[in-house]
Amino acid sequence: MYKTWILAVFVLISVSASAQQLAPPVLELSVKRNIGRGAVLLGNNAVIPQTVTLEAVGFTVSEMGGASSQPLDPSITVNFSETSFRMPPKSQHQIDYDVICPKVPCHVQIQANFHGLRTTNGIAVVIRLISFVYLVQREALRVEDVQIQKEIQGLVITNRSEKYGRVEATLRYVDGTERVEGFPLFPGAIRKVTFEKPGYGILKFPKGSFDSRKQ
Amino acid sequence: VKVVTAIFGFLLVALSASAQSFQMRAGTSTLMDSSGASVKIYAPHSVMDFGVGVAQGQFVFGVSDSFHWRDYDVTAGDSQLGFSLDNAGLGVAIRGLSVKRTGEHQSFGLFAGSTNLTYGTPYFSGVRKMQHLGIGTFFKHRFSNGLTSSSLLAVEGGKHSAIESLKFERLRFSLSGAGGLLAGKTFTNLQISAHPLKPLRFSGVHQDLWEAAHVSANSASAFLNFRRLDFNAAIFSGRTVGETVGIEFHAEWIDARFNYYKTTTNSVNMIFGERIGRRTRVTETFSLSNGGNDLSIGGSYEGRHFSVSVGHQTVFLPFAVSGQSAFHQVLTVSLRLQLPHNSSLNIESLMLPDGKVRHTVYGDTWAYRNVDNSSSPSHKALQRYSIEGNVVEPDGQIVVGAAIRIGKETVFSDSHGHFSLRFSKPIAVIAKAIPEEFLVGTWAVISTPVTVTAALEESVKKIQIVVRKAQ
Repeated sequence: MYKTWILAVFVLISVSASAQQLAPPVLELSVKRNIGRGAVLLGNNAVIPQTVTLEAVGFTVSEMGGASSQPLDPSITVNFSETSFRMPPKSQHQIDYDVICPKVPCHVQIQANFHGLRTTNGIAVVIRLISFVYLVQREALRVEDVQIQKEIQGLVITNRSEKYGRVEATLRYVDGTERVEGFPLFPGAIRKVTFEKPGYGILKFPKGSFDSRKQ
Repeated sequence: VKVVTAIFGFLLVALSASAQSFQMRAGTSTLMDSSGASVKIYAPHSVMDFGVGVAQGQFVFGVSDSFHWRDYDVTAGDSQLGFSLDNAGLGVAIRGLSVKRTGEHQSFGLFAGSTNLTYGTPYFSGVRKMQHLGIGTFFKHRFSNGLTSSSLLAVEGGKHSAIESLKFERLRFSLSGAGGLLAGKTFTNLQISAHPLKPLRFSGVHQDLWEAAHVSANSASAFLNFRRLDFNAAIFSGRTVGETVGIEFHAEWIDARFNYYKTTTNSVNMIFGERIGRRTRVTETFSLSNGGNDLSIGGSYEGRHFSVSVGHQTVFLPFAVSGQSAFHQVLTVSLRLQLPHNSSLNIESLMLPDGKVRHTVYGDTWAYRNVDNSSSPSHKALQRYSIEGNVVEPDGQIVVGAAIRIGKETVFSDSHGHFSLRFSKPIAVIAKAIPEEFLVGTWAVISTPVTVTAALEESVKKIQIVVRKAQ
């Protein structure tokens, strides 16, 4: 009988758990001078403690939208209130930070590395979560600041200004479906938006919009 | 009644602590003739373990609390201790107190309490019978010239152990010797090993043991690695004389192992393993010996939601019929189900040579209490003054996950080996590396500053801590 009780107790006791968290995934700080102040919120929803290390690195975005990390530009400084700490199970922790850039706009990537229980041998698994931070000029990017070229496969957007702006692209296809994507447009950068099927695109800039049907 | 009261007392004290994770296990086994359950509590500053069950008709329980006190690892209650001194070792199961400290050059251990017959299963462990009073101490010192000295003194139920060992290591060569009393029996051993090239190793061991009569044993072995192939050969002499030769091949999807054993009889073992996709593996084992030939086929699947394996294993059956070998080849089937909410269920079945089937069923789950689920997260403001530094190996390689205690706080080095801690004022604090808390590996400290002062961002001087991988 006691065996049944032991197994019944085991079956009845269960808990919920999910993964580690870092928020927000993207933060745009509109700044007057070259300093931006922000914060990230980290969550440990695991049932074991986590040791977290925070780092700031640089990143680039390709013409097709792929982001790749690179060492932080030495002219950019990022100060965290804490760069490493232990998080108890089911806890949240907020980290404040300053980003100091030689000129605005600029961007950095904050990496939070979650380490589980320590190991003296074997494989140590590290979960890396990323938050993208953009220091943005006060003056908004206008549709007149960019050059847009229509191609058979899509649109090529060239930013001819020194401004940063986030663009929302709505791609509507002839079969009635649509795809919406948002992306950053860096000063002097080129970005390609590809149509998967025949259709047209509407680009919304912080100021103004572009409709490929009207061109 | 006293035992149950004591366990509930421990549990009440444990449950009053904050931020705990609980690992709970329960199971039953017709193979081990036992049923039981255990709870492991991970609290911020200690790990507590409680187990209770019935094994072969006998009540068994285990209680322990492990914590860090100053520079010491302390375990109060039940613990399994192992002391290794170059080819000689002593294992003790104790109910009492054990204290351990591991430093850069010195390690120290002390235990005192009752020595026990223990009972261990995947779902609980405990003490079956308390036997004698035992006390012992262990000390190890590593000198800078490559010499390491180890001493073990222990008394357990009238059996005395007193062992002294010396080991000399230099470049690609090591020589070690140990001798003394091990559980009341006199022994000596001498070991020499060399690896003139990285993929080539030789070793030789001579051992003497005085029980009722003097027994002497010698062995010599060699190992060579060439690309995907490993070659090994060894000869033994003692009560019996033996030789082994082996070759192993490892590739991405297939591996093969061939071993030849020569003692009073000759036998050959060949094991082939094939990986099918990322999750499935099939193995074939051929055994050729004077007693006959045998072929067994097994396989396993490791999935996200369940794992299953079928195979033949040679297992030790402690309650085998007197006069027969306790080692038998049995058919094993094991199934592991990953359940929702961090839970799992394990079922293992063995078919014994006599056709009888034995089962072991156990489950594992996690729970937590007093953890911070509040909407306001913990938060520390950005301060102006900081202490920063790097952790490196002697050759300049960065060390990731190094634990540094600065004042009362512990910080860790990032993927560039860099660490920092901020303060509201320019205070001076003690900083030191804590190798036992590094996130990965075993380390020893070579140099670390003693006192550092927090400074403003623009005038902060980075400190450097040098550590090395410990053996």
